[in-house]
Amino acid sequence: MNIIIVLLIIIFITIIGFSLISFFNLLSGFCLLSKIAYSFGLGITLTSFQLYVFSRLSIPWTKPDLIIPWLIIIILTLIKNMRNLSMKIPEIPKFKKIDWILTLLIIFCISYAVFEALIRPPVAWDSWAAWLFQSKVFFLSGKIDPGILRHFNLYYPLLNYLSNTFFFIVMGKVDDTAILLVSSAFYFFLTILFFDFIKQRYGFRRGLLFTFLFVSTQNLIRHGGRMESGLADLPLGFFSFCSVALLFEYIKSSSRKTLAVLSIFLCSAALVKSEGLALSIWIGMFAILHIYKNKLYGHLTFLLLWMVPVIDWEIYKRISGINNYFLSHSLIFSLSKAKSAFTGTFKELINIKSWNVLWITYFYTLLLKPFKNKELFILNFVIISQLILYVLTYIFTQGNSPDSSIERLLIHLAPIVMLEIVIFASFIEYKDVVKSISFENSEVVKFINDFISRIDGN
Amino acid sequence: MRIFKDTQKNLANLKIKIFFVVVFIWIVLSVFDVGFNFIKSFSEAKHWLPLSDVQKRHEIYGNIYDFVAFINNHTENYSSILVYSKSDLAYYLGRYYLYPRNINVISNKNEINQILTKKYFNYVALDNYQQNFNEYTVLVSVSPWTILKHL
Repeated sequence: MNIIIVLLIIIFITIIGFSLISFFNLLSGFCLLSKIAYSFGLGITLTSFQLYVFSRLSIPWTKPDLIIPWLIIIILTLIKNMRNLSMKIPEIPKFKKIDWILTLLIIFCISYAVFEALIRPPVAWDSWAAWLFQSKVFFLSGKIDPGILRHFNLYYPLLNYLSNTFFFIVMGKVDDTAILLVSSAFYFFLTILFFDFIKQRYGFRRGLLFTFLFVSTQNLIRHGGRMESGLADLPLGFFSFCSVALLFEYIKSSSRKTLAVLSIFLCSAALVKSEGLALSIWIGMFAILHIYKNKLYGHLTFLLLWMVPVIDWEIYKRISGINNYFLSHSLIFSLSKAKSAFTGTFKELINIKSWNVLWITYFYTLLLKPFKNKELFILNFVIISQLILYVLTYIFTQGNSPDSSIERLLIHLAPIVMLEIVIFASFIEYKDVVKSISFENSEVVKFINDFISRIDGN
Repeated sequence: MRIFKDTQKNLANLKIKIFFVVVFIWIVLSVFDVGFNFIKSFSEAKHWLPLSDVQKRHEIYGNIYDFVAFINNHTENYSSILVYSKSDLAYYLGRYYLYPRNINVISNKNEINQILTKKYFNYVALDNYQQNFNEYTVLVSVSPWTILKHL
């Protein structure tokens, strides 16, 4: 029963996001699939923010108080868009055999993640010891109690905790197995957003192929439903991908509305995990650069809006005497620590079992100097800056080592790393290259040629 | 000069060729991963589906889960409990399952008396240890666990 309730809440949250997007006509040029994926992210952020604001204003977290405002917005959106309502099903391209195979493989990966999420209670230590524990504390307290946060030394940003709390409140109880479906939802919506993004730019078949390569990454499946579900790393990966995709759209269109949504997603990334703050700063920097280059100074207010909740949370922590991440990890340096930071990170990057050849391919693309393309430059800057930050954290802070966390931290970057590879692959003229391979008549090359021509739809 | 340019071009072409070979290997490995997951899903289903929720949790967290569930069943919400256990998981698993009870976990049995004289607890829960303490009476005892209640 709880599983069905969680599924219904996921749908409800997506409808909230979709209503707001439709009401303010925020993503007008976007495809339906992308809009749905962004709606889920927006819904998660808004419902969590609602709990935060209610708690700050001492409004009780009761089901009607939380749901009715959203129902009003949904009804208003329906009334506003009544005339434009159409039940047109988006055009589905003709499927060839290869499309069916790729689609089935993608569906299998998603189904497998959902199945694994539901088959057992949370396994990952951090999942129950930190993330679900704090959500349970919020649910039972009925508010954000700074005394409890101080008592248990809980200082992480609140978005993921509050989002789980919203589910618990609507369910009326804590069900730590059903809630794991939220991780699968992040995995699912990331998949459809990724697919739609690639499809729009490089075509249907390439969208399917690269989405398949992406979703079949074992570590992603682990976070989407297997052993590591219930953590906040996949949500951060989702929000960082949304932010990058919206940044590219903003750079193309300079639309104020796109910037407003980008601003919300940057805020979500910063408030889902501490590491997300750095990620959103790197991505936000390029938006500022675009504003400066094109003298769109009026847009700055929209962009800087994302900092308000982040600064508010930091001030709230300081006023309430809640610990700070950086203060609770003292600085330390030793050669052995530096060595373990590099070797541990390197070992994980070449761990085919977890990542397939995602990172190996990524670093290989760097050898081919992809920096001339603007988008590739942005992606590489974000990825490398964040990686350097992680390695520096391992080197200089006490209690952090790659052995316990690098596998998770790389999840934050995996979606944008995959995007870099896709943009890179489409940037180079591979057809001529494959044709020029000297062993052209070999079976392998025939297969590659055949495969590529199928992807291109020839 | 031309030879140099040709060499550079050939090298660039070779690098791009390698890129596509890597992507091709990636496709093969991904299909293999899906096949592996497909087979694994049967063994996972066979292993986990017949188990009850309690059995699943025992399988994941070990014996300490049974001890925590035992405390949960015999103590009241919002009570304070001194827990003695040698398990590394005791504190985090205890606070997760027992919240809103307030727990204090120790792993050194010699400290129990000392702590009880300093601080008031509604209950004392002992894992693999039998002992009576002043002002506490045995509430329930099922080997190897005991819960004592404050008089």
